[in-house]
Amino acid sequence: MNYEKYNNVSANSNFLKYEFNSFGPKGVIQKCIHFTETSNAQIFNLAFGNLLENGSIDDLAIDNNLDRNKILATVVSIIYEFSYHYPEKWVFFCGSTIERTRLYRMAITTNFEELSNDFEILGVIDDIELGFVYKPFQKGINYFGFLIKQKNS
Amino acid sequence: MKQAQKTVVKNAASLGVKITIDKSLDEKYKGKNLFPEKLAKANEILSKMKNPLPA
Repeated sequence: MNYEKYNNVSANSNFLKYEFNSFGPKGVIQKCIHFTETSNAQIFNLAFGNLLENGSIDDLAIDNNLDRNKILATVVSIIYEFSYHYPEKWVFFCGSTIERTRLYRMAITTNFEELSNDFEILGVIDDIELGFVYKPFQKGINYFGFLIKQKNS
Repeated sequence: MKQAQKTVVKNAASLGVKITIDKSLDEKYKGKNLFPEKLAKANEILSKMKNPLPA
């Protein structure tokens, strides 16, 4: 994707914890992204938020730092990095709010052609007959969350 | 002649993002789950799934 990204990202030794800084009119905001194994060992949860000075996380903050797309593109690059090191794992993510989940859906939709070249992309829906099921991502559908996994080389 | 398709495996560097390993993050986050609610939510949703993940 040809979006501007934050270039300097730090990772821990096993490429599960990442940090980078957002720069904008509101100043410097430290971001962190963590991949954590879920109850299904094949799936890691992606969580993302602002790292506060006291060491806690705010994943509901609205920064207004005018760099939303740059942050999203950086997060996507970090997903590529995780998948490079953990090619057999799925990544689950959903927004902290319905609006953010919708934002992620829009970002996937906008970049679907390129992302689907590199990733299997599934959406989680609550089907009236089947209950919660994974379905291949389709544009225009509201999802509870998303799963992606690098396509096999 | 038909060329075999090959998926190019990308990482952050190939997308122009420099990843620097910072070992201090190992200690900083050792044994910590800073997103317990997000993980709980993920586990709750995943526990309800009726169909298996694609192979």
